[in-house]
Amino acid sequence: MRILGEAAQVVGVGLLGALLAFLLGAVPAAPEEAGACGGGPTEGAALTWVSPADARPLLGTAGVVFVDARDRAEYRSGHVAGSVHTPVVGGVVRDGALEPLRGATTVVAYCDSSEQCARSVRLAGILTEAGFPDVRVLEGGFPAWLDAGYPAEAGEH
Amino acid sequence: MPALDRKKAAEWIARVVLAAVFVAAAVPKLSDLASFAADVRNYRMLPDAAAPWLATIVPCVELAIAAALLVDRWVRGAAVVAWGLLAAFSLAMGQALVRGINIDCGCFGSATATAVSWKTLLRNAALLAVATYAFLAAHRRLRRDP
Repeated sequence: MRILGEAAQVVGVGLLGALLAFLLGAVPAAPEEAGACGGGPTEGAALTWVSPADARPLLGTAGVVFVDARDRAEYRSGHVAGSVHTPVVGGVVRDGALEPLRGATTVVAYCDSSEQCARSVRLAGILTEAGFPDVRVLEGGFPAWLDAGYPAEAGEH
Repeated sequence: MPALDRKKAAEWIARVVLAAVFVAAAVPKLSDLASFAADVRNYRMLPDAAAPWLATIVPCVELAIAAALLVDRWVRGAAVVAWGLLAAFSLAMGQALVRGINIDCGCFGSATATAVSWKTLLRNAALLAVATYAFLAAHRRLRRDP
């Protein structure tokens, strides 16, 4: 009983630390609308959504490239296996970021599921403007891909 | 060196090693909570909204464990919490491995990118063994000499 009391004190100190972090505003923001993004009438007619189940057979197919629109830390933490990192920051991609995608016949853009997959939707727009013939956006983003148990990997290429 | 001193030395080595590992794990997580929250989210075990909170609580508890391991008054409680935390980490890694998800384990925050693997699970098992030893050794000693 005494040992459990000691354990509770240790956890209590940890929770106090977390409370302090909260009061200092250090707790990171949770993603909005998690898992909610996907095809629907509000996304616009020009955007092609693809479900994880339909995108899975495309992985590893010649001419198909998956692009990750999230930031570096998110990409490093885990991404669709073999995907290319093309972060969208402030609604734009860096100069030359699309070069590794040249020659692709189909590009599948994804991010997390926050703000209706805003970054991947934006990336899809940039890719379409750049002349890529078949650009799709992954429904539910990387979280939905992981939920389906499809191939993912950590680290950087 | 008398047997009692050797046992006490071994107990202290286990406590210091475990405390050092927890400090090494907590500091990079605290310095980049957003990255660790992404690691937590990738395990797909909790609602996304819970990830930032868990990502904040875990390193704070790790630091509390590390400090408490070095004080006789709390060493057993700290070892119990360490055991629970390591077991939870192992469970999370195990389900990721079973589901075939290759993600960053997030074990040491963004300091290192190490994919979840049987190796990371084995490392956790070794730490569980150290925590068990630290608890049993401290418990025996403190019962004998409170």
